[in-house]
Amino acid sequence: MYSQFSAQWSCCTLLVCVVCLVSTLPAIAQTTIFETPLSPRIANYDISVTLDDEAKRIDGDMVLTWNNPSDDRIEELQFHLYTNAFKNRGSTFMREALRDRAASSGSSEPAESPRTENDGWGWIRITDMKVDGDDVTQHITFFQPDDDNTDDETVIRVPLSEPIVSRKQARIDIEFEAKIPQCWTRTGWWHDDFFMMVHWFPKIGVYEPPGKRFVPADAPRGRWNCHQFHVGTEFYADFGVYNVQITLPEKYVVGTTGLILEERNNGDGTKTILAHAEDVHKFAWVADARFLEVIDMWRSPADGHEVDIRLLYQPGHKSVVDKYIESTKNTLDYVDTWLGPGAYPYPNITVVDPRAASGAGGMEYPTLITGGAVWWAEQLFGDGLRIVEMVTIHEFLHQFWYGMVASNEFEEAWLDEGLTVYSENRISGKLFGEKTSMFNWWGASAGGVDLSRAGLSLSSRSRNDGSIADPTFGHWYKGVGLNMAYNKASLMLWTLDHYLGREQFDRIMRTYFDRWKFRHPCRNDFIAVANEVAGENLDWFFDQIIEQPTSLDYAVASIANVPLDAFDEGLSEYEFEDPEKDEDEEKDEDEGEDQEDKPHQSTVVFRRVGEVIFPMEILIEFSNGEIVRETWDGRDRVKTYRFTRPAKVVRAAIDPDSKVTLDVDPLNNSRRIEENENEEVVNKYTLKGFFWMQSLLQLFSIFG
Amino acid sequence: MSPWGAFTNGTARIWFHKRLILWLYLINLAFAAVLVIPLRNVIREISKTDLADEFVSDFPVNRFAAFWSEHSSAFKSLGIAAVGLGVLYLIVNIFLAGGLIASLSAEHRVSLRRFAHTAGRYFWRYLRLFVLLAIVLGLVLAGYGAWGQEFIEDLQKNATTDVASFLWRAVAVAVVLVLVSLVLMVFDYAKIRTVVDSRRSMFLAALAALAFSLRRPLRTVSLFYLNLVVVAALFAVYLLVENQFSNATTVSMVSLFVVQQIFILSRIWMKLSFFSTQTALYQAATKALPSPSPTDTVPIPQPSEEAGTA
Repeated sequence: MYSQFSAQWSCCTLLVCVVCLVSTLPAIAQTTIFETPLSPRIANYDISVTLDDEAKRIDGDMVLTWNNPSDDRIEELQFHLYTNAFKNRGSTFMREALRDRAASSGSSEPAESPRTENDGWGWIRITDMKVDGDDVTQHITFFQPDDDNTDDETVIRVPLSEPIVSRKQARIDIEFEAKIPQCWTRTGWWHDDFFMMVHWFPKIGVYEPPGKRFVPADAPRGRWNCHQFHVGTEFYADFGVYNVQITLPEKYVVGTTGLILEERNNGDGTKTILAHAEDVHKFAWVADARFLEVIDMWRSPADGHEVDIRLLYQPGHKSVVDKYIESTKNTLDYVDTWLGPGAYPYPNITVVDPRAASGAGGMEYPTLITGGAVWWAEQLFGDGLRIVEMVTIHEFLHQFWYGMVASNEFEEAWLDEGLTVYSENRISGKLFGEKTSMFNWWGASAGGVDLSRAGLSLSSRSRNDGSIADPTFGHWYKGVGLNMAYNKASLMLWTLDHYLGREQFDRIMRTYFDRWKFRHPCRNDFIAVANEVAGENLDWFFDQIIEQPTSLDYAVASIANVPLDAFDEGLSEYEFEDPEKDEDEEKDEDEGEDQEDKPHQSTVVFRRVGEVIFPMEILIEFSNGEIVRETWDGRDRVKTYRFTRPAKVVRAAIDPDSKVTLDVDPLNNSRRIEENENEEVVNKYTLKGFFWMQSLLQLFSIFG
Repeated sequence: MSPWGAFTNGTARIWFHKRLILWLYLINLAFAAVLVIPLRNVIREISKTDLADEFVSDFPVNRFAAFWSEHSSAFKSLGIAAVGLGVLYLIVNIFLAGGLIASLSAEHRVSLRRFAHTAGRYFWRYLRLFVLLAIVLGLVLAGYGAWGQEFIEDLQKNATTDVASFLWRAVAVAVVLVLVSLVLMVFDYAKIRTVVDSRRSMFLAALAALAFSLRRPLRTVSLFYLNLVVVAALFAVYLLVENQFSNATTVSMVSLFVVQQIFILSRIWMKLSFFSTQTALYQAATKALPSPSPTDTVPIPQPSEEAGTA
């Protein structure tokens, strides 16, 4: 509720802000981080905002300088008003969120969210808007480009009486006010004195001219790309320069995108933060009355350039400070070598350890990332669980795959999440071991790549997840988008890495990064780079994996050994290959006297279970130790190998080195004949299972 | 009698009736063995693949998840069978409880035949008592869910650090465990009173047990938690020892199995300890005579002085 006191307070502070804005923003504007702009700087913001932490409100005004990037006459502008996603139960975000909660709880009815209790709703309202001096406030209308949900108010369109002509600049003055929601999807307040400010100002959409991303080059004109706010929604915006002035109670410690140039005490219990960021496409800030701070610095071994690291962490989390800092430095070290010196051009990075259970953790914003440390898990697992490291490395890598190479996360989340997971796996695998990078505790372990494989494998059995190419928004339902964007996409890159070889694959990644940083690529651009650098057309691969809802699965179907003297007794070719052959009969043949030393005719059958065709390595091992390795083009549904050898086949494997990480079922990739089975594993887990059963029974007997 | 005196006296009684441990262990072994063959058949599927090597040296969580998924119906059947077997085991334990308490409260060794006869005599009473226990536990947990949980969740939600939040959660879990353990303790005395006082009404036996516990809260609770502390210590020791057997050689696997069986025996000992120590306390407090000696019993030798004879 908007109280009278709040209204008066807001008016006063607004006046102060306007005065401050006039007096300070020019000073900020003089600050330069990059001598030469790194990006086209299409959307540039000067924003002044005041936080009323008790009323959970902000009031702000901003000047947006927008450059028309096209040859078109722009007759309307489109903006995101994402705080309205939390306005009521009717927003598309809330409908999707409540639907997902209901689905996960097994109820057919949408479930209520606890985040909407205690005045948890939020909204944003534009009170005044002028485009080049022309008041357009009355012409603002909500619209829904993604669905027909008229209750959704997360996108507006503003028709212009005077179109913005080709390549010209427009000045948009906006006054806005917002009620901050209780923190949800990294947006809002938590426990009254923690504020994660992500979707906090009206942000202009992206105008895509002909030839950009999926807009045909011969299209008569470009189009706005400005999606509604969805569950799992991430971002898509144009690069620019941000000058932001934040006034708030002085008890808060603040972290922002970009550099904090000045922190001024206003003498009335408030302070004002002046922040400046260049060549970024979003501005996030976080304020917490309890933050503790650590400052560190990383220096590039290659060219000596420095990056300031500022960690804002929670009381009680001293034990994870080193994990945050070291993970950030390790990532910088790795990327500096991998993508080239200076790949991270910004002078600083702010790492935020948010309030526990606030829902603000594990997210990326330009030069600001949020991690996630759970106190009890740190105490219990120590270094056995790498959550802090994994999240920090992952979010920091988004500075490259999202922050700089700014793909459209609404439509192609895999281009940032898939690339980031792949990169994260490489770093964490190097630091903590490929098989233990995520978890290594009490005899159980898991690596990042293997967890992605398990995720893809489990989902492929239970549902059809669609394809990587499906738009992520509206596709996130029940983790579907997550599985495609994170697991399948990263495994696709791993498979390509192994197929092409590390050196060539790294050249692809470097070229893609260099060519598309500070731009908006789509999947076609990534594929074009891959084809160009690899020197071969990989469309056959990408078409199957990205565009089609198909799975890759190859299997060893059967192994059969028949002693050659059996033929003397009249066995026909048909009988030899009969898959329905009685097992006992087969066993008799195998376990005859001294069969090991006799020549055998052996047949090994491989099968393509999934739809995807991919060249596969096969391995066949004989009882005399001989190993045969071959490559199968993987085209046929069934491939049969026949051998006549002085020994019989004891083991067969397809993809024996686990290079084809996209294979959804690694369990069927190998097979051993009975006498070559691993008895140790049977004994080990039988004994364990027996003990667990005894223990379970004793648990029941407590009540007896 | 002090709680420590009851504990030492009860321990001496178990040692005197140590054949009970063997009987309970054999029953546990027989029940667990039922599922070993189907379990072994499921595990054998791993042994046919190259993944077996990984499973021998380690426990790869992701591989197991895939394996679980592929054999989900087999695991589901095993799970259902395990729960069914658990329920059956519970009923068997309800049956055995009368025999156990009668034996532990007697001054003579009891033959297996006599043991079974006594167990049968109290079975239906203990079954009724179990239903009563289930109702009381349900009410306690429902009461906690209605009032305590919301209170704790509010505290947790308003905790400004996750350390405080975790501590509140720990307090909540501790409260539930204490409530459940106190209920179990009272019902232990109800079982003891049923045998020692030859009670037929289980409701009155439970009320009498509650009255007994309330009149001697310090002694009864101390004794119960003394037993619990020993159980917790056993777990801690087991976890420490088990962690030493991480490699996968046959010798280490067999050695670990031996350690696990010792642990199972220890837990059976502790199950008996709850009965025997509380019986000792009850008999000392009420000066109850030992159970009438059946005709086919063996005279009991006097427990040692340090065992604290009742």
